[in-house]
Amino acid sequence: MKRVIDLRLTRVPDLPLEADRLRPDSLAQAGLDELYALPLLYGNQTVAAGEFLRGEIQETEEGASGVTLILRGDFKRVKRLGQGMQSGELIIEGPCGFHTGAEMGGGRITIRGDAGDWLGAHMTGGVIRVEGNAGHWVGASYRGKTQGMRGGAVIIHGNAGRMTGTKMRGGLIVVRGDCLEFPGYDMNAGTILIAGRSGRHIGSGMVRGTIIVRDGHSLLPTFYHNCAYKPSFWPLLRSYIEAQGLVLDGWGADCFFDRYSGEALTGCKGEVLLCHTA
Amino acid sequence: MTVTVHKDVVCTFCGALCDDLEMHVEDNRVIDVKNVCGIGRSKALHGDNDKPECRVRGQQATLEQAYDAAAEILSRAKSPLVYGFSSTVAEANRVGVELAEILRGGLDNCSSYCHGPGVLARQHVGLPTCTLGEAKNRADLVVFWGANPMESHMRHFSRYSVQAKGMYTPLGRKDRKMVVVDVRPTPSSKNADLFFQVIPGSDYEIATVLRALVCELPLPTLADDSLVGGVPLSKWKELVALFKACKYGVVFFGIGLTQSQGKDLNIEQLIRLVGDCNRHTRVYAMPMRGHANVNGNNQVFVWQTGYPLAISFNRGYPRFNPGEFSVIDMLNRGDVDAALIVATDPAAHLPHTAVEALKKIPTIVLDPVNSLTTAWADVVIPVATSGLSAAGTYYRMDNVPIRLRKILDCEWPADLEVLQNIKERVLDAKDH
Ligand code: SF4
Repeated sequence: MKRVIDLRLTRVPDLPLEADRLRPDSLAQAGLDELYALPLLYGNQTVAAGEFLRGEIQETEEGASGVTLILRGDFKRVKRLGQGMQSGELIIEGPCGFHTGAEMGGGRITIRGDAGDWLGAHMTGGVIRVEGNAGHWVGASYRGKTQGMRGGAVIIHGNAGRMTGTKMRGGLIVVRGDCLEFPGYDMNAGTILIAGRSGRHIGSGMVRGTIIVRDGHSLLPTFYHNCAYKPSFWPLLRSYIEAQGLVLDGWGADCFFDRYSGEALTGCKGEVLLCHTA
Repeated sequence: MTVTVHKDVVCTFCGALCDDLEMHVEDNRVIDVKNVCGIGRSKALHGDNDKPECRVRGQQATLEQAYDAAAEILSRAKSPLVYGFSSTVAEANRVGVELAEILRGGLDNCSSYCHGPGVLARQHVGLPTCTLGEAKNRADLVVFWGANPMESHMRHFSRYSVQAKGMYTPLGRKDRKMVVVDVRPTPSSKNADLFFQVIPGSDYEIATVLRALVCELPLPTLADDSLVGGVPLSKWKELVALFKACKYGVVFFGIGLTQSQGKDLNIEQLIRLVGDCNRHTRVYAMPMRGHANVNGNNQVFVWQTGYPLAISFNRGYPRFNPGEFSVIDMLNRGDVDAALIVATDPAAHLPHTAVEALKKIPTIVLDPVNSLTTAWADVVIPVATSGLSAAGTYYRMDNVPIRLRKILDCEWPADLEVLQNIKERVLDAKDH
């Protein structure tokens, strides 16, 4: 059975609202009353979700089974949407706040607006697609933790902020636009692709992993040029990204890449690929 | 009137906490100070004058009325912020933390926009560090990176670093090499043996190259005359040679490094550089903390909550996330609906947008002197001045706790007492 929960934000909260209970996988059974009673944290007060959300639940036998949660409105001040979700689909028709999809293990999140900082931080699986821009610390680790995102994919149609993929340990981050400085900082593994302009200090402190960029003007001198080649994984990665609904203009399947290894200070096992023909 | 001379008084202006001041007191006023620099002198002479009026919403009030008003504002708030503490004693910091926890509010201190990045870096990579006493007695190489002590910590050179004569540095300046890295020539750089004028925002790259040089890694893209941060590589090699040749080096880093592009990552890389140097010789790093007890804030916050700054208690337990719970970001986003400000002057230090946000919400300020913030705060509570008319503990920039004495009488209570009074009233309000 397919279940669609369609909710609308009735008023924009004037203080931050933490809504980690709003995730499709835990709403598979809940009726509207139960849903409205879900506790959210508003400043330091616990409030019922019904104070901010109204909507309906539709259930149909057609199509694939699963839960889709649709949130409509300006969720910029709402934090932790879909945090820790393991399955189902979350569609946010508007912008959303910090920590969206943090620690998620599966399912899909689609954001038809801008996303706040720490999008998909510590995620281990699933796919997040952002149609607008994302903030800082996409797929990163929280301070004091040693591993950021470990699996899954974050696909960003717009730009991203600083520290994209900090301490990332696996998975994929794709930014179609530009990103600010320190992408892939202290990265352990995984793949980051930045199709636009990248900020300075790409991959500094990276231990392993792959960062694919268009311009390497800011590569630190502790990265060494190895060769120019056509990596066999590129057509596969490219078609995966296209399957996620993102077409990268100018990045053909036959792209050539300059391969740099680094960072020398941390063992030189990471790689930065500079797209030749883009 | 007799003049009383107090010896070994602590100066509470900057993080160097010079503890050898001589204060001459007559008629409960400091009339003269010896062994002090210019900024320290003016704090000592005027730190306990110019008390603000005790006010509630612009009207003169008694202390009791002010406590009641403060407690009412705070206990009603859904997202209160307790912030400041840079110029008050560790004991008051502790009550501040307790109050933030009871209120389930935010808690931050001034390091959030000065040396906080250094504190965050230290959490990630540790900090090989020493005390100022060791620097004085042993250091034969002192490096100032993004710091200008001649203007910010005026007695640092003579008491602790460049000119100080110590056990293994009997000749003072002659026994030491001094290096300055900064974006412009400063009074401090004029004294230096080597001065590196670097391009703003290039510190991370420089520290990375220095690390590679210390670790003897190849740098195939750089020739000797290639510029790194605006300075030729050959000159950086000289600095590395100095590092390797010294017996005891200390790198003092200032706000020029913590607040330039890269912030905590600059410090992380610098600390790692210092770590790499320790494969060859003994080198340490130390932050040049600005406000007297801003280090004490971090110390107290850490032993009370586990985190040094940018803390939220809104779930009842401490959570930490700089960028999310740091004072400037919270104010800019409008995440705060009441603020308790202790021993700092946000109107003078915070960006304009954050100050405007503060003006829109009920604000309580505890300040020993009239400030830009006391001019418009809703509740103003005058307090005794730590180190002059209030006793307690401050932490020096090298983490050494120093006891402050009370040498003057003051009609107003100390921060500690005020915070305790507000706390008790908040507890009462929450019970009912
Ligand atoms: S250096 Fe700092 S602590 Fe020492 S006297 Fe000057 S202001 Fe006071």
